[in-house]
Amino acid sequence: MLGCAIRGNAWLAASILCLFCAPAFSQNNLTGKPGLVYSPHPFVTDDSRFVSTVTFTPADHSINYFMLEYLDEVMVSGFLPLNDRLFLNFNLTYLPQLADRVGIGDRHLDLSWLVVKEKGGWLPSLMLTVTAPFGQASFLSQDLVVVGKSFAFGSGSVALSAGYGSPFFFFEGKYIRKKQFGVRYLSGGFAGLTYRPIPAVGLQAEYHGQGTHFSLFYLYEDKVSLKINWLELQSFGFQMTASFPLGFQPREMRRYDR
Amino acid sequence: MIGRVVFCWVLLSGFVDAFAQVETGQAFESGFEQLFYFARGDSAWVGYEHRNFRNPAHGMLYLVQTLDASSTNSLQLVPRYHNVPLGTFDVSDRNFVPTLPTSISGNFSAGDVSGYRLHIRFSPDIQARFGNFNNPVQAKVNLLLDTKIFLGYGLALYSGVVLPIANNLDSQSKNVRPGPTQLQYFGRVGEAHFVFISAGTFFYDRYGLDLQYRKFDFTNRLSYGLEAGLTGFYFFPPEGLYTRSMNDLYALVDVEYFFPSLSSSVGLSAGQFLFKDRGLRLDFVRQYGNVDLGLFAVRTKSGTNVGFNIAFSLFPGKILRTKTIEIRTNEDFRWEYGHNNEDVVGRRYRTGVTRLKDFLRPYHSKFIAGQISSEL
Repeated sequence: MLGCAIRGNAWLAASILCLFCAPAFSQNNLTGKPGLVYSPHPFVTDDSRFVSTVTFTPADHSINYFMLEYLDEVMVSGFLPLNDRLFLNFNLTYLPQLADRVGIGDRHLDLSWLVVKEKGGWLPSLMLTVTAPFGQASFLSQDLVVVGKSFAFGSGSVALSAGYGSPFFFFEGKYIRKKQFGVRYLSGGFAGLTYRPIPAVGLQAEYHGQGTHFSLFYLYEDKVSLKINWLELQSFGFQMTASFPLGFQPREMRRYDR
Repeated sequence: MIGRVVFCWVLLSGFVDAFAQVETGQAFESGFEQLFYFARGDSAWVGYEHRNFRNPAHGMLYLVQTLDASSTNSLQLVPRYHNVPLGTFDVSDRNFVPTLPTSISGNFSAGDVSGYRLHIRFSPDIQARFGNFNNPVQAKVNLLLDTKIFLGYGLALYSGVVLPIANNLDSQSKNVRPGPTQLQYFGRVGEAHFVFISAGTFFYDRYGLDLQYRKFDFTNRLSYGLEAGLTGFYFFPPEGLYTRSMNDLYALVDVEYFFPSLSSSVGLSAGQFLFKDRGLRLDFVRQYGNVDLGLFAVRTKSGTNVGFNIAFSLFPGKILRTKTIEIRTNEDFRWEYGHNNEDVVGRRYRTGVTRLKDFLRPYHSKFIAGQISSEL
């Protein structure tokens, strides 16, 4: 009887908590997807904005083994919502140390499907990502599944996420192991935690399959975000994100309204 | 005598009051062209064209804001394209239909073009190829200045000039040269059948004849059409003009289905692309209002490609506007990224103006109503 009462209260508390689920989780990982440092999470806040991300990752933690060495990487990404459940992610890699030899390195295109969207209750969000099995080589390949749940308290929030990334990638017509080419990105299980004491500032911690990363971010009005990544407590990476509306009125109309 | 005058005045004023009055001066200053109105009783039909907006709902909203139609009980908007009225939008019930009441269609179907300004339109013309190992960003960047001179009902001459800025994509020299130049005709056959025919020079160094047909009832989710072209290769070297014979036929049939609740369309095209490349293309387009995002997959006998495309109005839009001239940026800039940069798969040329299919898509009644319902 007592057990039932406690369980009842826990459900009530959880339900009330989830009523205040914080929508603002528009942080992105190094490939420009909603996520932490390396790992993605399934929280997409606004499906009417295009999000562009630039990330600098130093050579000791860059994800590509490009021409048999790890180099500093600048990843430029675009995250495009096609609707509230279907998203397109596009990357171009720039290698500053080889800028005179290679202007744009690897390119990447993938599609994410938000299969389950968290609402009230305990149901988590679930997202699937598939990389186009296509082109000569997809070194930034991501075929993964990720689940996540967010909780709000006062003006702050906590979000938990976990998932699994396929250890294979598509190379010259067949799937081979990422390890074989030294690709150290999302191979196996990963998990992460995002803590925001207030909506504008947050801390993230993740286990990405091979190690642990931390980050600190600042968000300005859901439009621009700055992030410092502390990579395995050894070196620092930086990220800037800007989001742009897609459903705005023409400039001439806006000016007339004013 | 006085009694008679008063009686006539009362009669006359009653007569005048019975007609709706529409003041279009502000709308003309706001960029609307070919503004005509026709009133009967307390109803008015206003025909117009606004070439700066790629989304017809924006034109409708802006017209209602800039028009003084306070004495009108029932206001109907008749948007035009290429001087041809497309349908009737009832402002009170927010319904857009392809029909024009027979009593007014004559008033809106004349070949008069005096209500147009001369538009000079800027747009960048960018072709890029990423990923070549020795030359990773290959790009050809031109600035295109183009204009359209209307000649009659649905008929126009389109031309421009290409100002090259940079080119490391191909061997074409950077001489200033004529841009695509065409004679274009847009027409309606019956209520919901549209054709767009152009003859002249196109992008991707093609010249010839291009025909587009579409059956699109603005209230029906399903539409279908045909695109065909018979073209040849041409280019302008600094010393003149080089052409090859006009023998490349491209012909595609397509069906498209619109999902109103998602503002998205899914379409399938099949047939022969440019360079006699036969296959299928699947398109997904999400319309956001001012921006369209698309996803495509194409499979032909030359290979497979996937990618995305984006369409939006270039900033800032209007630059200068007088009663006779307007200088502006491209209202419908389109760019497509294909992931496969090795094979030429499912290639088409651009004509320089928005394709009939893309231009008609946002006229779906539900798409318009969805954007306007909360605004009026």
